[in-house]
Amino acid sequence: MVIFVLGRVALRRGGVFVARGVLALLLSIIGTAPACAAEPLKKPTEADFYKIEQLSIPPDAFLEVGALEWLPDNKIAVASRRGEIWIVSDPAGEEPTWTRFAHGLHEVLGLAWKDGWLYATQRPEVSRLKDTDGDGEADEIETVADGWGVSGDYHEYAFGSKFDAEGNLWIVLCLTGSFSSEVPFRGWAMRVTPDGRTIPTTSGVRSPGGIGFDCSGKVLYTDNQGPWNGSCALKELRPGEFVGHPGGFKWYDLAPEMGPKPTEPKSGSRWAEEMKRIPEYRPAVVVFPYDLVGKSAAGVVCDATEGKFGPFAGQVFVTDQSHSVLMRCSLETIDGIMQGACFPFREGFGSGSLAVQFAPDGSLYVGGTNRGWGSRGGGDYALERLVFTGKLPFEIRAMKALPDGFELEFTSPVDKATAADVKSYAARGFTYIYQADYGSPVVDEAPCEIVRATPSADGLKVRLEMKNLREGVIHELKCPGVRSAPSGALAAGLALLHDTGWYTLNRRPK
Amino acid sequence: MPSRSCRALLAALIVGMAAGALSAAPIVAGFERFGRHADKSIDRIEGGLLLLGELGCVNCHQAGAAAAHVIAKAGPILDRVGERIDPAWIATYLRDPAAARPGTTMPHALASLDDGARARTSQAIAHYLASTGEFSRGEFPGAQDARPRDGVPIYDRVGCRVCHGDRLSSVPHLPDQRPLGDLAAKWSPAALDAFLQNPLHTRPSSRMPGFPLDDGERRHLVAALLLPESRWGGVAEQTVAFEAKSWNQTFGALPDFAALGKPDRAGPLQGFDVEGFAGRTDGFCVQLSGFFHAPAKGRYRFDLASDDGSRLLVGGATVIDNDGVHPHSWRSGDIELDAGIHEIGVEFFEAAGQCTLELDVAAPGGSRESALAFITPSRDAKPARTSRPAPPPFAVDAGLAAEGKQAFATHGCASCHRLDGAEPVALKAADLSQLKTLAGKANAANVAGCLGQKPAAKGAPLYGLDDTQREAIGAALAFLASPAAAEAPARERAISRSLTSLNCLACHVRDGKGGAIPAVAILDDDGEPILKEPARDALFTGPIPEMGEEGRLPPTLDGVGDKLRREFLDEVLANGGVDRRATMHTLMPKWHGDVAKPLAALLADDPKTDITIPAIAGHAEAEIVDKGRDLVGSKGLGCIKCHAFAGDRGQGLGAIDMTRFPKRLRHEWYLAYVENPQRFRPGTRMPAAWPEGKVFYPDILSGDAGNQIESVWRYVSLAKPRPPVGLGNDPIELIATDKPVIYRNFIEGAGPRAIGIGFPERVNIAWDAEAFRLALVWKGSFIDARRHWSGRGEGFQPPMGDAVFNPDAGPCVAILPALDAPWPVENVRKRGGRFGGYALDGKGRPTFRWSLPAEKIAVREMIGGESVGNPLLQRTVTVERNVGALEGLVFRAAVADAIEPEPDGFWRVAGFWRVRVLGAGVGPGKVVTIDGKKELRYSVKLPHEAPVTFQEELSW
Repeated sequence: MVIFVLGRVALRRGGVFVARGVLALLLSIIGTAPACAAEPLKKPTEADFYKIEQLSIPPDAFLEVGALEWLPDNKIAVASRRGEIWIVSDPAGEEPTWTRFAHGLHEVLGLAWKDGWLYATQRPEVSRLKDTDGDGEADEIETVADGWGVSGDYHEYAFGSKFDAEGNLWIVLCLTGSFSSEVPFRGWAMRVTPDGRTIPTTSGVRSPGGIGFDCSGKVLYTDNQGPWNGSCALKELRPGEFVGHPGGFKWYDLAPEMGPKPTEPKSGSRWAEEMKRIPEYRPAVVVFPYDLVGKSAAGVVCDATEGKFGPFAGQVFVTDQSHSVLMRCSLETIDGIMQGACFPFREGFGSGSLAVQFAPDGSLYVGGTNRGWGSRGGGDYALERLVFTGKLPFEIRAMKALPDGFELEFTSPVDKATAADVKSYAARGFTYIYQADYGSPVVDEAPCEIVRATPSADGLKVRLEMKNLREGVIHELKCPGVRSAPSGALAAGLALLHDTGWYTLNRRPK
Repeated sequence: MPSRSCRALLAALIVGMAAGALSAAPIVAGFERFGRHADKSIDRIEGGLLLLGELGCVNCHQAGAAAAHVIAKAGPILDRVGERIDPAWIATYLRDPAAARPGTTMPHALASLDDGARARTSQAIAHYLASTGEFSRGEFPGAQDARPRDGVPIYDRVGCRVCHGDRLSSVPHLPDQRPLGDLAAKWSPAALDAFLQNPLHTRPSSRMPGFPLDDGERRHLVAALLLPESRWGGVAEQTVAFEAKSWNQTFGALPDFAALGKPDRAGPLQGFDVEGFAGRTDGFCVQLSGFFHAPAKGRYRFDLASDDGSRLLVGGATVIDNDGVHPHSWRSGDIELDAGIHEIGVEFFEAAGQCTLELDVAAPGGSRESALAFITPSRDAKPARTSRPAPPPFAVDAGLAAEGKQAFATHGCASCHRLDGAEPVALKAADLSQLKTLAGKANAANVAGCLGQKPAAKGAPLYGLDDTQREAIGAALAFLASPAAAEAPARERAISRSLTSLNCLACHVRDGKGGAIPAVAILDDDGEPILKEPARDALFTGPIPEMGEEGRLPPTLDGVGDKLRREFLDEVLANGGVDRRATMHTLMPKWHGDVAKPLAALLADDPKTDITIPAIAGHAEAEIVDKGRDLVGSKGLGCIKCHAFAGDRGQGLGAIDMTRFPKRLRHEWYLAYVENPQRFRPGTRMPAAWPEGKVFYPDILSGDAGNQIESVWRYVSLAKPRPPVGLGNDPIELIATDKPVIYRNFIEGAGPRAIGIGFPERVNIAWDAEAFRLALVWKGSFIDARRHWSGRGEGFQPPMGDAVFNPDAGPCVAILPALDAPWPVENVRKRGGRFGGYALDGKGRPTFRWSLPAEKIAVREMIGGESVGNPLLQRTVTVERNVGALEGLVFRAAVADAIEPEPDGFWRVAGFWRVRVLGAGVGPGKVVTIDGKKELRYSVKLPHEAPVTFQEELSW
């Protein structure tokens, strides 16, 4: 393990940072080191397991998709940033029908269906819509909640959730610009109750890209790189807490139920340090390493399809607007704090992926827009359906923290020889500065030596013992050397479809 | 000067460094930052070599071995200096340079003289220098347009503050900053303006480089540097200059003040705080009167700004008319005045929204400043600004000048300063490498000579060095005497020396040194991260926070010779940089060829990224550039979502113009950079559009990443590339065909919660869901959605059509104790009002719903009506109250200056729109006057437990 020692020495030299290049080089050497089993002729691709189907959008709908909701009778509602809501009947069928249900709304970024009403979150309010005369167009646009301000700044987006178990809608309100909150509750999460109250619930929001739930009903939203957010992240919202950006602190005066204003975070610190100082502060569940897995985290959805969508039942999927991808998260709770890993899942969506929604048939609808923020998918907008082909991908299903390392769970048994070889893996830790400035470079980077890799008897799990685990650090694990064992339709000797995961370690289990 | 060392200590502590500066020691930025403070990243020898150049040692001493190791610096060229610099200041400066300009690198050339001789000699030299031209305290061209207030951000942002510290502080905030001293005593405004146009003209050594400011920016800067702040900010704002009267009445234009009657308030006005005076922020007008004290006869130029309208009267004549409802806007006018006292008046009104008022004046031959200091509320009072008698012109005494010329030669001034007609001085002092004997002694306090602490031996200048500087020079002298000095410095060392002596490192980083070190992962010996120096970091700002550090910190110089074409490197050093103006406040200044060319030559030898330029075989050139264009546009990779293109910022952030790439960048570097931006700029927001060679457009140019990257280069290299898709935006006019079209967005005049409706009959409304009012009505085209439907959609969009008016000033109904009682002004949301949304009828016409639960009324406003078109617009209002009948319900149809009845039952409002109200239970229309405004009101009977409905018809 001379390599790691060298790496450490280089890193710890005072003064000028010279080690980055050296370390990257070392890692790349490690990455290519394992002796590979014979590769099959055709390398599997994401499309073999999950195929993207375009929905044909009527030419008169400029459908910059902001929100999706599944309706009764095999219909999906699609809302656009230009303020339209379209209802598509039999969207996966041969001849879907499109009806414009509403127009003239203010940038709809949330849709939820309840009791015959379609609830739409617009910038300034939550409204509910209904077609009472049966002509297919909503004629009631009733304001349900508007207990927050809009100043006229384009940044002041409002994203709305589906209904939670108590019948609440959760709304996350972007700050005024990146740094400040000019009107009430910008930079907050609010709950809109069934009786129409709007309750300030969580402070610290910066610039959300979507909001949803995990399968147990915990509320999750995405926030994006910027001040007090070194990189994009998936965060949990809980009443009374603070999720990182103090720009909206002044509204504690208007929210007596929240108690006193929390301690201001210290710029230039680390989130693990600030967790100790600020009791209300809840760190991100998963930090998405900037540009490695995405760079504009957006929609959130959990896989409650019980297998119709493949081997990831119960997991959370997150879109990335800039990379036009879908990312996957395996989450767990340690000491009451959620954390977990993210993995690349599917790339190649047609525009900047934003809204996501599962259909009852287990396919996932993804809507996109790239207005104002560029995306790899070049379309101005897109509405696509991601369908599990039934073929099992060889993937790291989950990554779980252990006191001395991580346990990996695979979708299909691993080849024990490669999985037990520590040279099949490479790991490092790094984090981001928690600061008032925009974003952060990667800091505190250090390798993690893998001491032992122990596959389980059934080959579905591998226990990795690892050095240098640090709280408040993202642990990158690469498994380029791990190969599949033959199982069912899955051939032997396959490399992982995605061999890297990033685990955000807030708490190391005891 | 112990206080300076204390403050220097404080400054040093601010940046977390150990202190060491002593009084009166010269400040050489590179030495203070890298040789004394910070991380001592240059050693004592390097620090000493730097000082030998910056202090001009090699200008007197023969350089010998030092020639290869010391970068010489000449003093300013003094040709015709008498035109530029005040001779009185020259004399003061020569008597004790470090006292007049703390931190100066000019030595005390007269230190060895006794006090009397020093006074006489400094006078003599001042007379000699004054004889080279005639000094005049004249203004610079365009001084009347220069606003010192606008010069402050220029000083703070473009880079002045990086090297000189805070504009108003004589103490540097960082140990390497050299304060400016008393510029007003030294320079005439015209001379400072001319100097800043091209400092290299008199200072080819370029330690003060030239900034590419435009004329306006430079003039504002000169004004901010020379005009005492009391004459345009701070103190001026406290001045009581006018007697004021205010009336709480709302107007759309300046009223006839004579007809207004008794004012609501009268008394002295502080500065221009008219809001404070009137005690309200909207709906008032003021009349100011005072006495203008003209210091001299001549033409006076006035500048008047206001929001809303204003007028300036001098001696009863209107000099500036700035009337009407408008945002803060300036107008100017001038008038010929005799010296003495003149009546001056300002009239002003504020309708609604922002409220501002400012008045500047430029006296004949003077620069623009606040007029307040020239004005008094009574004829007898003394103005704050007394006219200073012009100082008598400096009379050159020929005898003294001749003596001065002699002294200029004797004291070796010409060794550093070029001056036409002065005797050139041959290098006469000892070769530096022969001074190694000094090396050991240099530390000794009693050395008499240039390095000493005491007045030097006869004729030698005194530098006032401190121990650290002396030690460093000692080490450098020892090095120069050693065999090691025979070797020429390695390239990196030579670069480092240039960057340090020219102080490029004040802004830029190279090899981990200099700039505002960004928060890269520097770990100290304990593995703890070291963050950037906060004091220095704050010097660099940018206009676009979303750009992060790339929109703030000047770019790294690591590998700059790989990145930039040699021609561009030369160009940017010679002319300064303009490419980052849209995204960064700091400007790259220009440097004299004598220093820039050798540096460019050194940097150009940076190791080059080697990459094969793709040939793109099998594709015609026309296809290649077309595909490049597709990739750049919004339907491709959307490069223009951040980058400007051919001068068009389009929807982008204004990041570097893509058509500048081929002029700036080495082709190979571009290819490698785009392939993996993070490799060159860790943390950059520039995305990897071809991550690890992956291609998102497999159909373009054989799906090859290299081909595609190259195609973008070829496209942007075209002399006139066709603009990419998505760069410009066409209007998106929303047109109602058979049903009304709705547009809910930020609408100017109707607020951020506006709901716009365009009816098929080409009449349009905007309803304000924040204030529950029909905010706007207009004819013709409805609205252009381009602003909000392209790019990020910032700002408010005004109506697209014309004949716009505002029917409702607030909710259209209220419960009042009397028909003529004041309308409730409190924000309807604060009164517990709830907006209930809207319903659309079969024809798509809206009914807005709102309620005031506290007052137990619910209101519906159906807009459109059966006969849209004639009359043009109908509003049906329904008011409901579930608990009993209600007294005092009033409908307000208009608020305006003029409301006149017409024969057909309509009322004509503001001269151009007409309104009437019909319905059972609606009383006759009555015009009431409240706060000077007319309001058309109707009392409405609300029956017991039944809603009341009535119609309003609007026509225009």
